[in-house]
Amino acid sequence: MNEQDVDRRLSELLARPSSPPDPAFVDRVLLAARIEQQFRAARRRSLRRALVDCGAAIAVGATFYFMSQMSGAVADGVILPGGPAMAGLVMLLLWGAVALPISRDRGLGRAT
Amino acid sequence: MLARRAAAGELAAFAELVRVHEPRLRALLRRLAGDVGDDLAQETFVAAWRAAATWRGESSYFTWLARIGWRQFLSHQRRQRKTEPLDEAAQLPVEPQDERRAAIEQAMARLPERERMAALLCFASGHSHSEAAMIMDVPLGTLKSLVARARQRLVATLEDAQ
Repeated sequence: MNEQDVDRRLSELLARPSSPPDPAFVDRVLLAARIEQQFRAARRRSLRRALVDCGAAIAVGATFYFMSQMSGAVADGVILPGGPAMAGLVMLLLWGAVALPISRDRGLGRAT
Repeated sequence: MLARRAAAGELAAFAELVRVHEPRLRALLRRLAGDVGDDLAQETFVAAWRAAATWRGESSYFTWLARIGWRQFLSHQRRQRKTEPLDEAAQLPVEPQDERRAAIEQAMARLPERERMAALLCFASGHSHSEAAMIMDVPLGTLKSLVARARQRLVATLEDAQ
């Protein structure tokens, strides 16, 4: 017997009839795939949230930095561009920009 | 095409691919890994779903799945720290029809895992050497050596059985 004949003989001996699909196995795989999909979506949301939180922390830190740079007395009713009132306003705006989209995502802004 | 739709994240298309390929993949992994073959097949499909977007159509979908399955098997072996041949009882999920088949199935169970996979792909599944090399991620020459060694051992078993 040459090599091709040997291979053919081995193929015959090792061949198995194909089995029909197993619906239970398919269901298990699809359940695992759905869980995987949901897990990925949750991970993406967590990452986005972490980035937003980092942005907020940086904003607060920057505000305090501006405030620490403030010097000298300011007359009543005067808002200096680099003064504490402006820093507070900036912080408030940043907080709004950061926090409001999160509230919308979580459905907190919706009427119940 | 189902594979492209699955690559785009369509779960229904992936479900159809699982239905089409699971009997063959499970049969391959059961014969490769014994009792854990079904678990490996499930892990393979989940890994395929996770990596669905990376499918480029360079090979058939089954070849791609078999490649993932082979990697799953290797990492399972590493986790189990098992290097010895599989338990023969666990390796024989179906009843052989005659003595020769029984002998060759037992010889398959005794083969080292790389030779067993090469023999399964080239003899039992009908893959070409180049496809088998792609699945096992080895150079073509290495695959041919694995097949030659497996052939030698299986032929010796057949001669003993006669």
